[in-house]
Amino acid sequence: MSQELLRVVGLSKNFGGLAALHDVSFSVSTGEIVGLIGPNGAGKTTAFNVISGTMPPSAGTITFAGKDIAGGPPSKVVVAGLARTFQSTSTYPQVSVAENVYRGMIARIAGTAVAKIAGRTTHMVAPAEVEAEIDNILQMVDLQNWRDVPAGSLAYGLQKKLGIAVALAARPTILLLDEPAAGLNHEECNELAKLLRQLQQQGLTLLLVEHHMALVMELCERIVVLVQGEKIAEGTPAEIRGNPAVIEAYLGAPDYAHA
Amino acid sequence: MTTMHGNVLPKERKNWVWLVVLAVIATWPWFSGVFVLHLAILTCLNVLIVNGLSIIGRCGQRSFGHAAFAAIGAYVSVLLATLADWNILLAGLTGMLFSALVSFMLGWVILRLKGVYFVLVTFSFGELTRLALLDWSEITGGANGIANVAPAAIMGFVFDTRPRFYGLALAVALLSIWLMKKLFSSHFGHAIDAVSDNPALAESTGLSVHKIQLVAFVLGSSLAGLGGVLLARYIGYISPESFNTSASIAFITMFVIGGQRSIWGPLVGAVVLTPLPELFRGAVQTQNIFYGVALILILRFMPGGLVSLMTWLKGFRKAKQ
Repeated sequence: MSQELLRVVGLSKNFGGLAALHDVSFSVSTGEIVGLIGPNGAGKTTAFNVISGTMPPSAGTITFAGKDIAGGPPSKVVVAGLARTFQSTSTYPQVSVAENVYRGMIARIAGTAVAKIAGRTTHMVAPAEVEAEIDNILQMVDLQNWRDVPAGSLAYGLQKKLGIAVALAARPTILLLDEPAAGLNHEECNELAKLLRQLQQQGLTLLLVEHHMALVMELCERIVVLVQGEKIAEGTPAEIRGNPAVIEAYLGAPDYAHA
Repeated sequence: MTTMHGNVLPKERKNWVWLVVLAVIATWPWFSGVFVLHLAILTCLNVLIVNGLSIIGRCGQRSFGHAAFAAIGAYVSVLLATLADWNILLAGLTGMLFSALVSFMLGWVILRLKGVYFVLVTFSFGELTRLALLDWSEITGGANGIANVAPAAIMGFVFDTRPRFYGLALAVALLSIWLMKKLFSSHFGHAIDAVSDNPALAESTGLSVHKIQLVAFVLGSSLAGLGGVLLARYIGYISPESFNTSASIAFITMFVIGGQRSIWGPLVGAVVLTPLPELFRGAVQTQNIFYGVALILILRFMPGGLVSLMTWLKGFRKAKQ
């Protein structure tokens, strides 16, 4: 059994009287791909936002690499090694694809705020290194041909890839992907699966929220199912597929799940 | 270009033609009489102050109380020199540091506000500062202000004539432009742009939006503080009205008309707008109408400001070749 990297215990999040998450616990081990699924409104994105530090939890603990990261702020959580992507495309639209990736690297290569102001050390010494790493990351997500194009002019699928590239630039140990396949066509989806598997082989741990069941079933080693803010099941894709509670929650699962 | 692609961190290119033109323009006031020299000094100080505004603006915030930080720098430095008999240089630096300190405390609290709310609070802060200076008349002289401020002096060299002070102002303005150039080609400069382009994404890649905006706010306000220190030494007189809302709005106008996204914007804005009120002395009443119309036109038709004319001309020349 490999090492536990992320551990969520008793996580709850209330918005006023509404419990978006209630007592959710699960863990992710190093090198795993874990899927977080559930019908709309199950609290998947809330879970993501709480884990990545965008919102504080109402109760519960989030331990990442032995440290408590609950409550954020996100910038600290990222520096600790937990990065995320967004459900809709999120880029710096006016600047080039390369600059987008570079901005994703700044927090890591510039260090503390003080170093940022004094700041020239890293990039003055080795701008070539920065450029090389940008090329490297773009190659990984197959965007090298769009290097100098403004990010906003890219097609939707490519912008989603760029979102992953920007997150990778922080060199995270775990990457949280919020619906990476949403809005992608069949081919792009296959490419995405290939990319994610490749990232896993390079040692990255992945936690993804996804509606695209075929992708989740194919990719994930373990799946956590949320329904109305509560965890109702956890297991391998085969176990989840046969779990009566999950089938009931999805009500006519074959229709919803393309599985 | 030798490489196939442009680099994110461009190598420095020297453009000698531009440097010579700028050097000629910068030297010209020394040979053109008192009036031109006076305008040139004010322009240099405005470049400095608007550069500060530009650092804050590039971070996605609009400070409508920028003149207040110039006021803090000016009053603190003058009072330390007159009441506590401090050395002028030391008093000036302390004035600037005081602007930094106040902006840090204010920024820590209000930089969580976005857009129009930040504008409103900085506007109120500007007015509050002015009223405080008016009201605290035992020390600040109230509406009468403080007259007979001694000229600036560094290590025994006194900047008591216009040609001498222009040298100082020009050096400081150029230094601030150099600082801007360094800043916006550094990691931190790119982080500033990232924060204004997409704060949520910047935060999720490890850039603390609040910290970066705070540092930019303090840096920008310190430049305003230095501007105030120098202005007090040049004019020899300060009053709360030298730093009122119209002054803040004048800085914003220079910033927007010059160009918000370029390090040359504040320079162009200050050079174009500082002499205008003097040249149109006969039309004082219509000045604000003129500025209002100019602002609206620029924002509507030329969001990149006058600086974008240069890039447009470059593209035009290239297209012709």
